[in-house]
Amino acid sequence: MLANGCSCQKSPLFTIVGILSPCSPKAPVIGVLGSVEAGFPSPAEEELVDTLSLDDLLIQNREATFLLKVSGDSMTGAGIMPGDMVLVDKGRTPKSGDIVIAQVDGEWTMKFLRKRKDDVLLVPANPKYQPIRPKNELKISGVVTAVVRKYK
Amino acid sequence: MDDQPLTLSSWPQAIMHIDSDAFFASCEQAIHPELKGRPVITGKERGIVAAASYEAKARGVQRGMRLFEVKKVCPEVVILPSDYETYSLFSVRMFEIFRRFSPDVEEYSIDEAFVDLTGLRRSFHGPYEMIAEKMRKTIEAELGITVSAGVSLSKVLAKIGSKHNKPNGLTVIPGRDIHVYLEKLPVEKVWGIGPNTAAFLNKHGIMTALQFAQKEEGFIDKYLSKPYREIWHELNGRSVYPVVTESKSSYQSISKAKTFTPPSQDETFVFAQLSKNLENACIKSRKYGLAAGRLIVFLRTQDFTSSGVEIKLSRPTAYPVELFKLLRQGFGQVYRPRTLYRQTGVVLSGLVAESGIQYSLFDDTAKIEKMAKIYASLDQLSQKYGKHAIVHGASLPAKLQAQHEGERGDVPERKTALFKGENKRQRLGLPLLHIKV
Repeated sequence: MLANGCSCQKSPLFTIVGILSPCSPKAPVIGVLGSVEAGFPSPAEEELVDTLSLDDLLIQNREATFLLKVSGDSMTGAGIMPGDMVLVDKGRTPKSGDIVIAQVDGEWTMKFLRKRKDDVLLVPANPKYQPIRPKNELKISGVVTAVVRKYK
Repeated sequence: MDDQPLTLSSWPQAIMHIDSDAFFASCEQAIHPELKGRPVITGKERGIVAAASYEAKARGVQRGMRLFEVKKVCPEVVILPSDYETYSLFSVRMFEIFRRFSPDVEEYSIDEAFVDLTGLRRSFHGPYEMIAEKMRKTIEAELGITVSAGVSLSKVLAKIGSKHNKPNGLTVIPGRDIHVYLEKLPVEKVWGIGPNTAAFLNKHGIMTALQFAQKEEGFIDKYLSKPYREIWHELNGRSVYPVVTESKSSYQSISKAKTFTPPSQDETFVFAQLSKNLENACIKSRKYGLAAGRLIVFLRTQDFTSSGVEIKLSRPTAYPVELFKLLRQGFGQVYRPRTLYRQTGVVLSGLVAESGIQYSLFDDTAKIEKMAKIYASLDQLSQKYGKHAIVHGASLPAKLQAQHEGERGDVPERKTALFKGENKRQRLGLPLLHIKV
């Protein structure tokens, strides 16, 4: 970043300077290009530049991500228990194998989406339930991107 | 003459105005998908309609209607308490999505924006209409709400466009078509033209926006003040109002008003409500580094009559402690015993930058500095533990009692269906889908 200042604000240990166009016609000025203060950056700080927060990890497209509290047990085999919180991304194109939130013939459900050519199937992860083949209508409202369970 | 284009240049600039369709009600329908297509209103906690979905409007429900009237005209209506947290999350997301398309986004209100699209045709490989449509579709896919939009050469024209085909419509008005859209538009429908100006223009035979736009500059200069001359230019496709991109960082005034149910005649409680509003207004004012020069206090009774007083301050401040004495005085002037009140409010106006306050010889600057420190810590605590972690004693009765009680006292589901780790004051910053799966 170029800071076209007429004087150095602080006195850093060393400064990288570049010659910029003068501020006034009379006095040619050396602009401060950027300064590094006080010697060595802390090694810890340096190493932490490339870390992710839990938020960054769990949420890819923030604007399209919603929370949903699970109430049913149709996905327990996939590790999604009643009471869990799932993150739902509405901006994603659902692919075969994704866990989706969908409305099938008027009923809401969370299932694995299985697509083979024109055949679409919603598959539960619990032997108690049967796969669903939409008869009239299937509306996919979002793709489940994460599940969060907090114990304490 | 009427079929003569006002300008021949099609797109010297392209400005888009986006207006959400029944925003609050649409947000509710987005998080409660079973409510899509059904008449929905918000405002249960206030006892009046705050927002109505298009389905409700079609059945004759209007903003501001009392709830019992609503049930009469539309018995199948779904009445929800306002969930401003969710609406704000949707609003922020909407602006973020617009910024994916253009850096020049003006957040005009919670549900309205202006976006400057000029020059984007190249990067999107298509006409402005295509870009605008893509923006609308992204909002619909990711947020589950619809918006109406207008694209034209100026803000005033873009606004005419967004109104032209509502809800869920897009109207693109290039320069050569402006006259077509202005021809049938009554002049008072133009953004910024009030009933008085409209009446004045009508007297000069100007009934439509087109007649106004076609009026010669001499007339405009002679009879109208600057804002109307600007509108006249904008209508002719010459953009005067820029798209202001910085998010709202300054205010003319800050007002905080809250309704409570049931209405109360308890002096301590009503004052506590007022005091809480003052604290809220001061928090907001400090957040923007502002201090108020005037304080307005108002109370609203059960039969919807309001009364208030304005108090001038000797020096601008944003510290409630300095204002309580005046607040008490103002309250004393307005409050009538044995009267049922339903709402209190304060307005801080005459706002100036906190940093630029001139202290007089008689001000105890040491004390003021101490106060600044105390309130800075208070603001930090609120940030950590949620708003109103610490309140002034006068506001306590308002904090201890629910804002709304009884049947109308519903709070949004968001505030009751909490995840482990969330609490009444702080929740995750993502909207909650209410789907049973």
